[in-house]
Amino acid sequence: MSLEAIFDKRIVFMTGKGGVGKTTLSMALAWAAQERGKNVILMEVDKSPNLRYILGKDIPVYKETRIAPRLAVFTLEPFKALEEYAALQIKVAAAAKLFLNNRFVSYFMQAAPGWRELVTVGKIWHTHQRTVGRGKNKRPEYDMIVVDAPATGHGLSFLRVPAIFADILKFGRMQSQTKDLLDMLRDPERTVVNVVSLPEEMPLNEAVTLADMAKSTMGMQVGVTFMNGVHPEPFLPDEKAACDNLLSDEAARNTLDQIWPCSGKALFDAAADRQARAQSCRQYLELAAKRLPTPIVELPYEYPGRVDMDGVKRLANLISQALCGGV
Amino acid sequence: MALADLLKEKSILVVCGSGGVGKTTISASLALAAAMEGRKVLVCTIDPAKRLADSLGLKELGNKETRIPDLVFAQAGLAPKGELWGMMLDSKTTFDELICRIAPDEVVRNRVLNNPFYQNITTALAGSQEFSATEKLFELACRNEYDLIVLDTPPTRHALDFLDAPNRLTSFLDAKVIAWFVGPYLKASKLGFKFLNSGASMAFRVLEKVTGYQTLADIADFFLVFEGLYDGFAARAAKVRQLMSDPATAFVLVTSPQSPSLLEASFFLDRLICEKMPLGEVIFNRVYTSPTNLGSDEVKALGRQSVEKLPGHKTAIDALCANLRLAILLAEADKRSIRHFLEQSSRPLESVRVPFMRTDIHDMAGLHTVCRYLAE
Ligand SMILES: Nc1ncnc2c1ncn2[C@@H]1O[C@H](COP(=O)(O)OP(=O)(O)OP(=O)(O)O)[C@@H](O)[C@H]1O
Ligand SMILES: [Mg+2]
Repeated sequence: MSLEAIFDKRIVFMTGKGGVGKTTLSMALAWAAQERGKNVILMEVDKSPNLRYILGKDIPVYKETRIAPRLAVFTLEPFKALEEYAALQIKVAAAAKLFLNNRFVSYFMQAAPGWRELVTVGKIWHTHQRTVGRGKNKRPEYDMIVVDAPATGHGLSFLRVPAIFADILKFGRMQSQTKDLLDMLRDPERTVVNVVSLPEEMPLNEAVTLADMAKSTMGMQVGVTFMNGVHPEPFLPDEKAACDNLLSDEAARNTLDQIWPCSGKALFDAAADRQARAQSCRQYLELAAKRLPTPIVELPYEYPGRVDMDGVKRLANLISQALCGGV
Repeated sequence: MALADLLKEKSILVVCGSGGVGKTTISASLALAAAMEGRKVLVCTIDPAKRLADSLGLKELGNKETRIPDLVFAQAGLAPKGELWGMMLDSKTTFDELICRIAPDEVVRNRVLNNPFYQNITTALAGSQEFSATEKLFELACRNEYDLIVLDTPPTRHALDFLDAPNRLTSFLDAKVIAWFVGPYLKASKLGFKFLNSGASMAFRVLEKVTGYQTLADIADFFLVFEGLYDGFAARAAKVRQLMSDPATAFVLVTSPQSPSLLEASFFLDRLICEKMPLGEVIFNRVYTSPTNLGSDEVKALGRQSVEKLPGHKTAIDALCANLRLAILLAEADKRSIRHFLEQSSRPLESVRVPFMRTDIHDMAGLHTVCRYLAE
């Protein structure tokens, strides 16, 4: 698959360990896609405060909210999705409500395994099925669905659940519906899983596991790994050379020590700190290139470790450049 | 209570925090600190970094405890007065062991262990990891072989999940629900649905329609067998809960000063207080620190002076000053959010700060460096 083809997929999952920047990069990818003329919806599996921070406002749950002419966001909520699903199954919304509000059913559902993930994937499937226009103008309502998956652990099980259910369910209507979900997840024409990671040990390990699981266990296509939060070199090459030059100039350093109250050491310590961080990132990037089966897209750490909408647009630009060589 | 005293006096430390804040590293460092002071310590972790586990000599860290070899300490120039043990939690094994423990006989045991539904809930059910972590903790605590157990909690999205999950699981397996669930399945086969109360029979019919008969049969069979085990299960869960609020237990919260994780942290603290769980300490990890006490403006002024004296080194001095000012800015931002967090808390909090290290911590020497900050 060419990298550019990611923009032609119907459903793009963004997955990775907790806190690596899935929400930020899902938003950035969605933004990049709408800039390229796609109609995009960002569906987040868990309500994230960070998305609200990025958008600068609160947005309701389980409601499509348009934030740009070609970009909507949607926060999934399993009980709402279940209600919608049950209404579709039972046909009579009131009966569905009655069923779900049954004391025991709701008690059971609070804890019952798997159904949250299943209805979540079901809702994504349903959204990807929706069309607008008639006759030869009929086309999908959204060209692309970016799914901000929950942190791994349950992020993996979230995609694994349809397969688990396909195993458990022997007959029944849900069995064939589950099969539709599996077909969607496993169709490389429609669906791709991207991994988000950081240049650190645990996130990288998790990314390796994830890419492998998605591919071998779940039979899904894996796209790219976004290596987020790469600490850039603190100095440009000429600055670096100038610093080295200063370091080896003893007389100059003595002068500095006289000017700076607690010697010039702080200057060099701070530089060493950031250089070490950049170097550690480089090492993990090399390791990532060896261990990951996917192409890697590097994205810089944005000081001070918090990305707003402007930052998202910068990252979107970088993503577009990396995947397509410029917008 | 100061962290040093917690490490001396408590017998259980539960280390909580949302994902990615360095819980495992902090847990291991806490355990090391206590072992250095002479206690026999077990650190029970979920998902240790492989490099760390390897370098501690815990190659096949499994669901059983392994002692960290003396050689590993010697190589780092350390001579602990106590012992450090490590283990990795395996949720499935812990569950199976629990079933074996509470099942009255082999038939019941195997019927549970081989049930497809059971196999799914032990791995896929949200909360099964948290449940088995507390279960394992209880088992270890009962054995009384360690002076201190440090429990590194599973990586949850919310630190709160750790407190809620076991309850959710217990209520899922509640006998009343079981009766409701199994009842119609049994009766329906004899009498048909029409004799059941209408809500239950409809619910059951819907479920059967969407899941198929065999699925419900598996689930019903699971609950049928489990019904006899529930009391044992619930009794244990209650004891586990007791252990959590025992005065010899303390919770340690790990968080980073970057705001999303701080927000989580304050919810968690409120919750601990409200549940009367003993909070020991807040550990701020990955805190940006400045290598100087100077402020950003002072650096700017000193930089100008330096360039005047050393015009040939202007490029270097400007770059170094800009870099130092960024470090100061980041450190100040972290300091502000920590101060704000501590001021907002409804109760005075003990806290320590562990700086954002230059590189990952992946060996004994690294853990020992963290220990020094923990002791401050
Ligand atoms: N490239 C970056 N540079 C600096 N900070 C970043 C970068 N990407 C993300 N962040 C910050 O890291 C934090 C976590 O990001 P985000 O919420 O996107 O992660 P996530 O993977 O969605 O987390 P969760 O698993 O909790 O959903 C946020 O404060 C975000 O602003
Ligand atoms: Mg997120």
